[in-house]
Amino acid sequence: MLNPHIRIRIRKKLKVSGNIIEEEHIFKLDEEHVEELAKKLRK
Amino acid sequence: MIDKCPYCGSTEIIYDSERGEYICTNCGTVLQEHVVDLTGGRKAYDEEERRRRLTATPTIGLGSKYSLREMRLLSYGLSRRKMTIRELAYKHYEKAVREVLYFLKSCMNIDVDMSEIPKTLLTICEEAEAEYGDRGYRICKASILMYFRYVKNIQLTGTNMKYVEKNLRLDPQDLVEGKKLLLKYMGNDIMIEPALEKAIKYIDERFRPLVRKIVKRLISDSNIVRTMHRSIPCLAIMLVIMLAERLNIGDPYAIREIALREGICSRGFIRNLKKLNECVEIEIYLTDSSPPIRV
Repeated sequence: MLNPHIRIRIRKKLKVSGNIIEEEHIFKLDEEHVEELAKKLRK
Repeated sequence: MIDKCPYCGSTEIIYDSERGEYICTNCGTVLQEHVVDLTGGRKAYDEEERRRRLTATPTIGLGSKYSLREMRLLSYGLSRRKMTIRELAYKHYEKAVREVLYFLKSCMNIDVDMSEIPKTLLTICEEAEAEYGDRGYRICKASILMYFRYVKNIQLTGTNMKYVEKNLRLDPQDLVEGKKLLLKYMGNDIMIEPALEKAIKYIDERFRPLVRKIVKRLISDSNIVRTMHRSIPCLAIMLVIMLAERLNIGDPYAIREIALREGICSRGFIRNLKKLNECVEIEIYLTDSSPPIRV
């Protein structure tokens, strides 16, 4: 995926087995979000 | 047994079972005292007891005219006919809803239409009936009241609570159970939204729809996020704070403040917030070519 987006990866180690479970969620960003976020993150 | 009074010769002698005496009605002499009552069966020693013996039929159990279930139907004022649980729940539902609506209108001056009530409450009533038995009707009323509490923002404290106790005949324990039941079925709809609404105020206006979308999707789709905290509104607020902090789009401290002040979040909140922050990794891809920004 090449369009502007936010990728949220959630990782958690299970207490009992010690296994790591992982999930990924992708959210598309609009044009105005892109500019605003760029400004905010640059600060 | 005495037939004739030895003093006046009258034959009008009565037996007073209450006192165990034979009395002559003519001269009033007590002819025999402490008579043992040998009639057996159902004894009645006073007037009230006798009346009760004559009129009562056993209500429940062997010899009863009605089954337990029918007795319950009768006590709800329904006709004696066979009903399925669902029908019964439906009756409960309607009656309970009507009662709560009347209460809201008369005591709190809030006018609610029947059409505003979701059908999910019917499931709640069925569950209340199955789980709480005779107390089910009250729990059902409590759930409906709690539903309006969240939807219409009714304060159930002080005088209002007194009204509830007096007019709807519900005690605080009923309300707790009702709330539990309501959250089991409708927690998402009525709890996330108000909590989100409060938290999202402190987010940059342009990002509010995005934050709302992210939080809702994470809560509904992510198994990991759901295990972070028992309370879903609390989880929603944790996610909003996390996004506000990481993306620099809002005031996380103000959100935290309001969440703690309004009792949406409990003691374990800060610890869970840390845990959530450790688990989540956010990458932002702003353009096609540039590398992602990790926050």
